[in-house]
Amino acid sequence: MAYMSMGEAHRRITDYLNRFSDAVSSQDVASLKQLLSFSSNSPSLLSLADSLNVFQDANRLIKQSDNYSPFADITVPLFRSLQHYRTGNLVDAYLAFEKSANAFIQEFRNWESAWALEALYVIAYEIRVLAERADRELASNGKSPEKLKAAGSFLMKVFGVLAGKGSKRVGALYLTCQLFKIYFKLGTVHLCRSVIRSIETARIFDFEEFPKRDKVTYMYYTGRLEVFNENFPAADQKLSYALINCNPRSEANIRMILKYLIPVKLSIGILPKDWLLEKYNLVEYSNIVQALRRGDLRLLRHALEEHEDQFLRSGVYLVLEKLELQVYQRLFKKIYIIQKQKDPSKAHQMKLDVIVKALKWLEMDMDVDEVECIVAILIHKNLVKGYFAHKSKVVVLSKQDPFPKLNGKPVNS
Amino acid sequence: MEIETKVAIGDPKIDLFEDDDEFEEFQINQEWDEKEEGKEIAQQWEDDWDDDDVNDDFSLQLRRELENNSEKSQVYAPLFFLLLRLILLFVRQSLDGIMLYCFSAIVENSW
Repeated sequence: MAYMSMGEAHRRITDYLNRFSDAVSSQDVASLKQLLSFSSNSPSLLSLADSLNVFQDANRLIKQSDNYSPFADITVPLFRSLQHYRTGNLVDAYLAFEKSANAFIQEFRNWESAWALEALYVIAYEIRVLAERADRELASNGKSPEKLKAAGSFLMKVFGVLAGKGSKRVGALYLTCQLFKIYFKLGTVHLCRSVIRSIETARIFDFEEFPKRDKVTYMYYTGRLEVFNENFPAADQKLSYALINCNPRSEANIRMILKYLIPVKLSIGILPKDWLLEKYNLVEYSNIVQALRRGDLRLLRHALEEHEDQFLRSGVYLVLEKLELQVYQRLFKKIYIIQKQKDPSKAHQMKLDVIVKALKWLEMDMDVDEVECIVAILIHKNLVKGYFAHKSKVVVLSKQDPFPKLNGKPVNS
Repeated sequence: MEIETKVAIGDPKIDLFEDDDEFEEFQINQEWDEKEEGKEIAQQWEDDWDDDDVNDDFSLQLRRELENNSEKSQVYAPLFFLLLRLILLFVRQSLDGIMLYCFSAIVENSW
């Protein structure tokens, strides 16, 4: 590291402080943002950190100047945080940054217009990212990680500042998305509920007013919550919105949306084209789609086994497993069509033994009673229209539309 | 609209860095025009795949399975094999008898 003189260090520090007060007085958010973005690792911030180590009396400098002292509550802890950040001491960096951010919020509240909103976004992002790194540090030292949780509480406070009638309210959705990311990371998704309720029911918010990028992110996370809760029509609507409105160049984000949207679409009887699976590398779904198309229960079972870990991690395993009923329906339909070609007059009377044979071929050993159970379930869920002639072990299918399509609705629960 | 979460997601401490699918941040102020691509992606779904076509490999194999193991042979096949076994047994015993007769004739004649 090149030697920095005391004079040079002093100059860099006053340079920063000047830029800070100038940015505020001229409401220049573009400049202000850059002064706060630690994770950008910009050369100027890094050299500022070095300067603070050389010239160690920055606090006095700040407090003794009329230009700098108004923002002392922000800049003093900010400088401390930057030094800790530079030396890799993330827990202390987080604590100091949170203190600085708190002071910033107080000032932000007093500024009438929303000119500094983008700087607030930067602060929200930095809080989350610093907290994540602080928790990693705690965990690696065998301590209990709790900074990300603290960041969540802090950002809820910031959300409250934005949830008012003024022009600052368009920032609320960005804050919401940062909170979603925290809650999902911590696995405390039930905490999403209250902020969702605010966004969707408070009269001060008009969803259409929010910036598109925040709406896309919001719909992605709320769509995922709908998948967890198996509300497939709602999940379809939200994830489709995110998909259609997402930046087409954000391929990673599109892939994530599809990862959750595909199981939803399958559950309402809609298949993705192979092109889509290949383009976004979602080939773990290929065999599942094929199994549905064919009515191939064996293939479905293999596909679920092969990618079990992946599906469990993303939480879609149960959704995919339940596709089994639709695969049964498709298989029965094929048996029906095959028999109809042989003997049209008898096809609507399907012997359960025939189904037993077909299942045996698919390596599923079931006796006639178990098959009767399954057919009964399909009838109950309106996947098969018919009734049993129980003694003769025959299911008598409706002559009209014996295998009703889902038509975009999930299977009756 | 209230969203209830029914699925618990593990112990927070252990699952600290769960969520492989964190959405990437869009740049602040980033605008984009997605109309063309949005339309293209919306056309990648099929809802009319559930047709009556049974000419694919899977369906043809299914048809063969259903025909090969047709009901009659399930009743008659065991009977058939039983009959075959009896015949073979009879033939073997008969053969043994014939062999014995021939052998003894040869022995007799050579004396």
